[in-house]
Amino acid sequence: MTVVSGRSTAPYLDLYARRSGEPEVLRARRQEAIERFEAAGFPTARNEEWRQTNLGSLLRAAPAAASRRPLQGGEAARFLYPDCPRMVFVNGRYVPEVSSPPRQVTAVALAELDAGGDTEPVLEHLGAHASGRASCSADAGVHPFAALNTGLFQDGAAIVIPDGAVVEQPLQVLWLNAPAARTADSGGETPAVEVSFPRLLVIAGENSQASVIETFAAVNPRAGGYFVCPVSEFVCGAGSVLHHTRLQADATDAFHLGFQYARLERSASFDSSSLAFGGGLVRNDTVGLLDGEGAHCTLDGLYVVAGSQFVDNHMRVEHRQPHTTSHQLYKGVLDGRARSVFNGRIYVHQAAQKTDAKQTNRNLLLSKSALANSNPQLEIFADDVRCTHGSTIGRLDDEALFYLRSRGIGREQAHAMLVYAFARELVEKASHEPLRQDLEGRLLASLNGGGTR
Amino acid sequence: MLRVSDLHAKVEEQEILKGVDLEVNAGEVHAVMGPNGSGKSTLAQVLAGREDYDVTAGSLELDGDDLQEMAPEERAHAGLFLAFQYPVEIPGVGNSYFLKAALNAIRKARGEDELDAMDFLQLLRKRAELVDVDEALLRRPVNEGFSGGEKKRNEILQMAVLEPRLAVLDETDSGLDIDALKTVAAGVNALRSEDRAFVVITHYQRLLNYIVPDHVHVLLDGRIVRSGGSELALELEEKGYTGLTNGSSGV
Ligand SMILES: Nc1ncnc2c1ncn2[C@@H]1O[C@H](COP(=O)(O)OP(=O)(O)OP(=O)(O)O)[C@@H](O)[C@H]1O
Ligand SMILES: [Mg+2]
Repeated sequence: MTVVSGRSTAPYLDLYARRSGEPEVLRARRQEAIERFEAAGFPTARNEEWRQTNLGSLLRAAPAAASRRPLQGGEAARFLYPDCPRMVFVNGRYVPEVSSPPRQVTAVALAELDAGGDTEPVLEHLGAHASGRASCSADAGVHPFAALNTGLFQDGAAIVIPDGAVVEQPLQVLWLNAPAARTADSGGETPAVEVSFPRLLVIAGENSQASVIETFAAVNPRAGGYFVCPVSEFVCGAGSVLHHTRLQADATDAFHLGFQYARLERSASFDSSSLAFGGGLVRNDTVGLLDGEGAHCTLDGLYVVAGSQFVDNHMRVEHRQPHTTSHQLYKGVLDGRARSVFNGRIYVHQAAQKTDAKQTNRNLLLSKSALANSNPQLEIFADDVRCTHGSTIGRLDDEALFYLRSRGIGREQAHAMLVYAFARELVEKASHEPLRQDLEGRLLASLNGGGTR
Repeated sequence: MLRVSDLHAKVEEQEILKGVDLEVNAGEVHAVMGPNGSGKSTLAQVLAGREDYDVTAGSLELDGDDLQEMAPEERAHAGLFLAFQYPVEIPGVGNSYFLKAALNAIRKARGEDELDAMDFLQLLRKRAELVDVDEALLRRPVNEGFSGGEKKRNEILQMAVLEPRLAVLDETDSGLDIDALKTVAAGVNALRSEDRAFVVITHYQRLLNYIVPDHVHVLLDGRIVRSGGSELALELEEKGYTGLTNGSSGV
């Protein structure tokens, strides 16, 4: 048994040492990533980027590779949208029996990469966020969890959308977690967590159009803690239009540390919504690289948290070319002792004249002990740009609450109506009807359960 | 129906109502007049159950039930309605959705069946027509960006849909053009009946030509200093509030 001490990377390096095979073509890349991870180590409180994220409870737990597990009938069904082609993963591993990969595009399970087919684009882009021209500016440093994912992912999905293809139905990628029942023999010293490393790569060909829905969920929301450490990479070719929705509905005591990356070429458009309802310790690092003239990205998000949930969104948008635009709207609803961090960095390179960047973070606190932090960080090295940012942290409007109640609407319902009104634009922007209904339902459910979680 | 006795109320440590007595019976219309800042809206808000106001002495009863024991929504369930002097804007909540939620909450509390979407829409259309509210306003968020007059009409629409037994209208006539004034009055008069009552707070005698009150009260510095019939309003129009001093006896 591994002895965990402090922020030791040892137990994770041990997972790497004991991993069970991988596609030959990925071996070197994984070795490189794990070395990067080892050199960087886990972030400490001195690391400015991680100062507000307390990883203590995660790093005290002993990681175990998530178990292989078959899906019982119907376990995935309640998370799936009926009309969408889908790839379903349990504990980070592909489950072909319940998947129906899309036809118009190439979709491969990463574990099958050696099986042949055109792997060249996948090999070109997988993990490119960490090196070369496709990586963030040097000051972003190594993202230890992204490196860890590259070293350890058990499986994943690579989706290649051909040039010019217009894919009507959204593609759904479901990441289910189902930790094995906890055993009571650990002597009570170190809690154990099962770790999975979902990995998604989407390559949108030139002038293609598609939508991807990622869903993170627990088969049994009460099954206990697990650690999900996903990386999603989006490569948006010139003129492509890619929509992305990321629904995070993990168990409320799960650890979720994710890394999302999008690189946009000329006139590409990437529109992403990240909706977080679950997880106990949640951190999402989102990177948007506007790497071609006229590219546009929208990075929106909603977090609805209560109890002792913590959710941290770290945004990094880099404008590298002229006439690029970025919009960010993140809204948070916090109840109980929940805490949130929004860190929004916009980095405008010298070449990126006529940049138009807009960032808004609005938080609604429903209890006295909830806490929201909002830190905009603008770094602008071009002179002809328009960058605006705004953040608010507020409470429910007492006058509005009284007005509703004076009309006979009960306190709780009035409360829920006002919170829903605050958050609705982020769930209603989903254009796929079943997805929108699902999101609305989840938002309403989280409001009705508010305060009791 | 409504019995207010020796009501004292404070806001932010300042006493605003200093002993108000008011009795309203079913079938009656009462007008409350009085200068700015005399406490009219405070009285209305205290009746509706606003928590910022502390009732420090006296009592409030609706049909014999102690209003102070009741939450704002419970007062609405019991048939009380307040048309706000300053209706609140609620971004993100659709006007007709809000009205349906309100009506159904009241019906549910009374053990009546909730209306489904179709039945409600039918009712809403009829009432909107009665008080001349444009259908476009029903689809917009509650009061958001409404003009002053539209907000007032929207209050009357809510009243027409919820059909309260006791409606308190706080300066619903202020900011209305003459046609709107007539429609609002028509809305009130359509609801007038043996078992309903109205308390109409206003600065203008004009409204009282359309809604003829049974009683008129003058509120001055937190007390009702004079009460009379509808002719009192005319007298006030002529002479103003000077000469009425705090402490002069009511009728
Ligand atoms: N929340 C508050 N905080 C402080 N003072 C208040 C508050 N609400 C009311 N007051 C004060 O109480 C007094 C009575 O106000 P109220 O609104 O009841 O007057 P009103 O008779 O309705 O006047 P108007 O005719 O101008 O509408 C005023 O002096 C007002 O400033
Ligand atoms: Mg007033």
